[in-house]
Amino acid sequence: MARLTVKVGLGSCGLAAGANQVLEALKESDAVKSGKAELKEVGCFGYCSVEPLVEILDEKGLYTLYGNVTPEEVNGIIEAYLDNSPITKNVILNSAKTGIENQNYSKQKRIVLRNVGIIEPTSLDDYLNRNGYKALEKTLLKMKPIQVIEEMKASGLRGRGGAGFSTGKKWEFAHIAKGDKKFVVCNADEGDPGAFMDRSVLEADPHSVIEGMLIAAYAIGADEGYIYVRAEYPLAIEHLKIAIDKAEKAGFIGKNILNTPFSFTLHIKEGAGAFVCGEETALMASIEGKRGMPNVRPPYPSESGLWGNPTNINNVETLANVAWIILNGSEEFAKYGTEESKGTKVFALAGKIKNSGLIEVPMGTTLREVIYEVGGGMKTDSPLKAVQLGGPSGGCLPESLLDTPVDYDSLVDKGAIMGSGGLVVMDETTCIVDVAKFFLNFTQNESCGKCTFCRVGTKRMLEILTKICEGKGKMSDIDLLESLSNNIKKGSLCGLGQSAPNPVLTTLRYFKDEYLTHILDQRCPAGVCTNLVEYNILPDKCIGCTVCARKCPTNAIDGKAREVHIINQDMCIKCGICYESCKFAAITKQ
Amino acid sequence: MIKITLNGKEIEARKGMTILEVAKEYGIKIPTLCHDEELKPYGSCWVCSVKVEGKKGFVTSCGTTIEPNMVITTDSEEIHNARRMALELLLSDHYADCEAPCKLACPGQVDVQSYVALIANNQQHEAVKVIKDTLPMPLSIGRVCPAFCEKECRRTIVDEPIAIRQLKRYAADSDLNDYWSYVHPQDDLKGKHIAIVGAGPSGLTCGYYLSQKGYEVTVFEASPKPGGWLYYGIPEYRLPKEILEREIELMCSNGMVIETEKILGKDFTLPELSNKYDAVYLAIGAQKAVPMHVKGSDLPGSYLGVDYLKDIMLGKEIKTGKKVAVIGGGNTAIDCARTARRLGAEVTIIYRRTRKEMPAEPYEIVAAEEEGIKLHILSSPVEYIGDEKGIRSVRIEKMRLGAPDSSGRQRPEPTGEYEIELFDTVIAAISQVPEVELFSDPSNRIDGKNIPISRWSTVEVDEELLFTGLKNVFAGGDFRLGPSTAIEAIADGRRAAENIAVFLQNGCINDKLRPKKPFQSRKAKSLKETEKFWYSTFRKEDRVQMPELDAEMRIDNFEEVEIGFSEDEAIKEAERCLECGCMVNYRCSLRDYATDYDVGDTLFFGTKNQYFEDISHPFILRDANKCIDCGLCVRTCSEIQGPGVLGYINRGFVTVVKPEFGESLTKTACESCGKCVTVCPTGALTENNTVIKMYPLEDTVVDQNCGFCGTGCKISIRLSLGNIAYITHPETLDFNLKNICFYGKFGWEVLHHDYRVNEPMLKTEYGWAKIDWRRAASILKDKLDKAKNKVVTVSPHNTNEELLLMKEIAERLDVKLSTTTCEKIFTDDFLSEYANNLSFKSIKDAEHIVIVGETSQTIRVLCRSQQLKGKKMTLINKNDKKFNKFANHLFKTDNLSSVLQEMKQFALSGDDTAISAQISNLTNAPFTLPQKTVFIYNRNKISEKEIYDIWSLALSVCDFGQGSGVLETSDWSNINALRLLDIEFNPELPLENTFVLNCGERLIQKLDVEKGNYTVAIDTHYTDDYPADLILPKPSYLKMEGTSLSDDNRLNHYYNPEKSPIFPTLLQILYESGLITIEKTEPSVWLAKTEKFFLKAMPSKVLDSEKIKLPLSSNELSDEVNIATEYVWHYLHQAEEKRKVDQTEV
Repeated sequence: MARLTVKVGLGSCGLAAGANQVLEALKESDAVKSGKAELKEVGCFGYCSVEPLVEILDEKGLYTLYGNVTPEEVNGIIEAYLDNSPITKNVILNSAKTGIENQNYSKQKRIVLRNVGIIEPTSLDDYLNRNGYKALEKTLLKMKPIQVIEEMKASGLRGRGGAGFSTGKKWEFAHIAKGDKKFVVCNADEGDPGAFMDRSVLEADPHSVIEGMLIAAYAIGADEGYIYVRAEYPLAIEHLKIAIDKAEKAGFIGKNILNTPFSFTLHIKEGAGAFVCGEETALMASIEGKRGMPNVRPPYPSESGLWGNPTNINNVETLANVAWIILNGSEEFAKYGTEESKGTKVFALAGKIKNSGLIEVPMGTTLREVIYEVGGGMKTDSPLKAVQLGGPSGGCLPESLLDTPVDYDSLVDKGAIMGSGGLVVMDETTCIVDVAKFFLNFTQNESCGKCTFCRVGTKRMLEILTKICEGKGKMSDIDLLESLSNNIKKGSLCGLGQSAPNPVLTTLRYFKDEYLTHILDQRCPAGVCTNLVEYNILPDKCIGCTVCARKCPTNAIDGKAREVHIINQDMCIKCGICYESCKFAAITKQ
Repeated sequence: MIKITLNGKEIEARKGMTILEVAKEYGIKIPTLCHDEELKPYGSCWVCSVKVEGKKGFVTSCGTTIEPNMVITTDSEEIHNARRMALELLLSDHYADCEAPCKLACPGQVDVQSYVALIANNQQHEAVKVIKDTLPMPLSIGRVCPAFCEKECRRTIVDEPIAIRQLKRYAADSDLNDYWSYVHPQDDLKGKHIAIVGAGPSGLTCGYYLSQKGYEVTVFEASPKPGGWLYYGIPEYRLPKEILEREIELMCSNGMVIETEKILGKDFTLPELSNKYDAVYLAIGAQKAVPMHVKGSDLPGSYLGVDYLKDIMLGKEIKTGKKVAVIGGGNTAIDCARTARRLGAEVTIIYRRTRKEMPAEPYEIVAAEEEGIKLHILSSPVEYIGDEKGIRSVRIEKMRLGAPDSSGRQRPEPTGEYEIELFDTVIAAISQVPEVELFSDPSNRIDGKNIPISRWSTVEVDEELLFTGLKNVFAGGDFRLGPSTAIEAIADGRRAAENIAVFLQNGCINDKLRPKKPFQSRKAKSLKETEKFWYSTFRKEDRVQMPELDAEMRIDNFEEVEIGFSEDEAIKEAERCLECGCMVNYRCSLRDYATDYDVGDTLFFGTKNQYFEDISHPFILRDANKCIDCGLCVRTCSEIQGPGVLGYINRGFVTVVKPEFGESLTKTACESCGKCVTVCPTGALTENNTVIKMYPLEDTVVDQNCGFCGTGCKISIRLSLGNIAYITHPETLDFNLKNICFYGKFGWEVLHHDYRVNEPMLKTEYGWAKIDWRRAASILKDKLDKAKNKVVTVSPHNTNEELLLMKEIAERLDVKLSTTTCEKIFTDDFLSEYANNLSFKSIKDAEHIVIVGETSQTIRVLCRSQQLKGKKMTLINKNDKKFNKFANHLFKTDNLSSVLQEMKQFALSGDDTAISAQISNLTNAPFTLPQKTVFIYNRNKISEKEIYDIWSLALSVCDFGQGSGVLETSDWSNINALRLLDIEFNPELPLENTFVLNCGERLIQKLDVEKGNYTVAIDTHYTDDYPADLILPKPSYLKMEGTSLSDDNRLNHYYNPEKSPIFPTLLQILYESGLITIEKTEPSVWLAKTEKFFLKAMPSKVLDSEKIKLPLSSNELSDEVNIATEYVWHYLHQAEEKRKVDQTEV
């Protein structure tokens, strides 16, 4: 028995930060070679901002999580640990529990992420050791499909893909639907910019999703399934393939699973990364080999889905909840959350927040708690301006609404949506019109082109926003934005179009002043919209060091050494290099 | 039935209907652009948005099925606004011109594009008809118009504008010089009288249109001659008076009366007119010259331009001196100068600004200079010097250009420098105003009110309605506009006529009666703003210059300077037209809705997607600029027709429909069925007409059957001014729904190609020679007399009338009518006696459809439509057609017989292992053969052996009741009539001394003339090596009235949509050669004969399995049916190839 277990976080986030080199260094280390330390390749620890991460578990059951680990340092850390004189530098967490369930994250409750960062995703044994496939066994051997559905309904689990429809009811519809053949589909086409919880789950704990699918298939009477995952998630695909292969070999997938009449085959379908393919009907069209375009509903997929057969589609996070609910019971699950929104929700924290990364909190936790207690608060001194939730379909909430509890209905009420769980924190350096423009640009590029309002309407909105950012906006543009938004919401077939105007509508609701400042005062308060920004040199602060003049790419700055410099506004292209290079804060940006 | 609430009313509707369908049944019009009944609901355009209680947002009415107790609202302000916004958004990305810029630039809104195309098609009368729809004076305007149209002509971007004015003149001249000239028929007389004051272009135009509409018009003219300024202002050398007089004469064809030398205010007063007539139009013009107030302007030798020109026309004694100064830079000044020049003077034009600012047409200035007229610019006369004998000289102040004035031209400023030049005559032509003093006279007041006059002495009226506000008096033309152009005066005249008609119908005129303007999409507001890049692919082609008299030939006389185009020149010039206006602008759903919903295109500015037009396909034009991404073409092609060659490319705003891989359609699996064009709601996909230069007009619809093959689809022939514009499905759908195959939709164009037989053709040693039909008759008679043996043959491609005609000839010659085109097969024996119980319509009664081998595109698609409604479809064939993908079961095999035999084995034993080559496609359902199975094949595409196997299989599966049995189809349009007429198949031809008369057949081999044989063919087309000695013209299904029997024994009708005289001509030849009697030369005799014969002879006994006698064994069958490739097919192919070559050369 090794004295230490050393876990390296090898999710995409870790790999991007160089975790692979850390792993290689560890493999070459004496401690590992000599067997004193056992290596485990796990998924994301959730602390994405300080990757690469290495967690050490000692004989006493104490966990220490090291962040920002370099390949050069890592062996030193292990050696020191073995010498009983652990290095304290780089320590992120230090606890009797596994790091990710630790103190700072005490507001967290990990159901979906229960195995993430703990088990080796490529190891079926690791999964089995943590009650893996026990829920499947329970359903197949002890429960009737209708009982499974009842259990799901009782748990109050709602779809984590965004719209929040009751999972149990969805299963029930597919169960009731008539058809010789039925399908289950796992929607792993996570497309919101800044959202990566599905990827992390698939990378770190693929079996939990597969088990969820198996249970769903049993409940509705399906014998075939698809995981629709974007091709940009190669690691997730690799781990899924390994997991499916191992599950097949172990008899969890295939004919007569666990010697019951239940059979199931599972395919992976790699999507080309179109955002709209996250929409159910477009996703199914894509699986069928057609262009990913949404269809008129009804008929709903539960009646007529893949190739006209009843089909149940759930998102990754939803499915990852299933086995837990079956094993721990719906009552246990329903203990978490609010009246209408049960359980937990995974969020990807990003933006101007200290601890950006992956977290899971019970529904009903307030935004303030998520940001300040779990996320560690703001990254810089600049105060919080807005929180963007739900990606391009969501909205921006102002500081004054931070006490809003995170649940489906409260967020919708405020103009945002839960979405898939992206949460971007913005400070005063963010221009709110620019943010709206960013999301409109995204939805416009990702519109499938089918519905008139979405295809052309979002383009016209984007053009209006661009005009406003360029200082060419008119007051009538606000009305036009509003009426366009209204019609696009009402006149689009799928969620993409129906929610595309949300970023504009919420910003108009909470930050209208900022729009007006752009239009009436020709000013961008955050100093982001270059056309509306002017750089000037403060004569009393400028010492004539000439740095700005030398760095200016257009030679727009005049001035001799030790004399006050002046920016020639006609020549200035507003690149901001002078502003950043001035060491005396002599340049203003307004 | 379920109960729903529709617009507040509780109604019942059938379950499964969509809101759109229910609304339609209840007469509620909901606009839709992306829906088609044959396709699944799609819901992309959102112009069919409606509200359903309890649903968030709108729902698409095409895509929403009604549910019990649904509460639906189909119209409200919210819905209306949303629909309008959807249309506005679609149009904000619609880089297209509804109408050509030339038309929009023309004050008279003349449909230039159409008449230019008609000139290119050498249809002068039709061109004049189009012109006269809005402009009744093309002879004059074709000579004097400043051509606003040409200034906006997009061809300018490529090289030079089209010579539109000259083309108009050419068409009008040709029309005038022909044995008849175009006159619009008059509507029934309405018993109302209208008085018009002023017989200038505006008054005459108003009178022309009103008299056309059945109103009685009297025009009062103060001068001795009608024509107004055109007569008295435009000199003879530009507009010969004789031409003008003939034009006015034509304008009076519908009873307009002109009373000359009748002066308002003198001979009669305005109230008198107003009381005596039902309406009055005042078009008194602007002919009063604005005087030039300088010292000496009262000296002899000083004239005002207008008076000068008018007095010359009136034949007054005018002394034009030796040295003439003309003051002014407008057209009148030029006219004065060129007139004085022709009277022998040395002429100088004095103008305040520079040549650039001169308002006269540049080509007129050039012509004046050519004639030796000098230009004295930046000069202003300040004094005429002379005495009571006359002017001797003129003192002129030099000018310079200062700041621009309100018109944008630089203002001339005096310099204080003077010069004196010798002149004996000065003609000041600076401006004119209407003569309005008489309206202030109390005697001309109406109801105590004066006609409203502006400070520019013009009448003040609403510029659209032209109503003076006084009782029944309208006014327009130069009287309203001040001195302007004839075309503007004409435009007012027509508008006045329209408004007066509205006034007379309603007893009043107001805003509500204002005509609704159709929506106009425009690529750019002006030529200047037009993106030049998209014109870079057009080849440069010089403008044809209109020949003129040389300067020396014209300066001493008043001969017309412009000589006019020759036919070749006109056609060449007309062909240069780029056809900017949309070809479907009169039938575009998008435009119609935009008009209905008052869409202006001003709400959204922003980028528009722009593309090159795709003209690579010979029959299908694709203009992505007009595409609204409704996907109808994409879905029809992939879900119904099969090839699926169109698809969406890109995402977001730049989403566009393109052929696969962005290739030309010709490089895809496109089968050119044209269904994509049929379903396109805009002009993004349109039919290319390879026969004529197309234009956006349609005036006649003829619905009849297609005569290309035995399917006999119902088609709708859309004609315009005698030309077939395109062919589509009829409004009321027949059995073939919207489906017409390539041959029906585009194949007709081959009937117009170069090798068609329009008159008798005689074989000579130099090839085929056209001969007079009398000579043809005499040759025919002669050869007939000499021949010992006679043979009369027909093909199954004749109408019933032609067959009966040939039968009669055969009887007269005492021979048996025969055919060599088709070999007899065993089914002919019983199908001639029994009507097939199945029809194409009855495919719907089957549970399972089995198609063996290739069939016509339409039948395939009809089967597919049934399959979409839940029927099973099995295909057994050799080909790789994309349609195969639809099969529930596909047997792709080279050996059809073996599969059919295996199926029979399976049908008898129920053992599915008997079937070896099964490929399941859409479902995993096992293969079955229910009793209600229909087998379909084309007898020309498979062998008799295979046909035998089909019938043999069918006999063991079907009971030949409803939806059960076999449908034999063919490439031939009338094989069933051949059977009924008991025509002998494949006769032995005597090889010597034989006279052969064949109708519609191409004999395999021409009989040797040396051996005393002579072959006369009646055919639509010929080739260089056509196997006959004489060919007589044969009408096609578009060129005769007649009937035929379809493969499923329907009586098909043809109505001679092209109004061709070919059939009567043919009958005449046959009569002259003694083959028919005189009473049979009337085509209607044959129609009557058909009715009699076929109603009697059509089999009524229904086929049942007992009656079907198959040959004892398949060995008795001939090896292979001789599949005769019909000449039309051959030609179609040839023509297509030729077009492809042409295309690549371009």
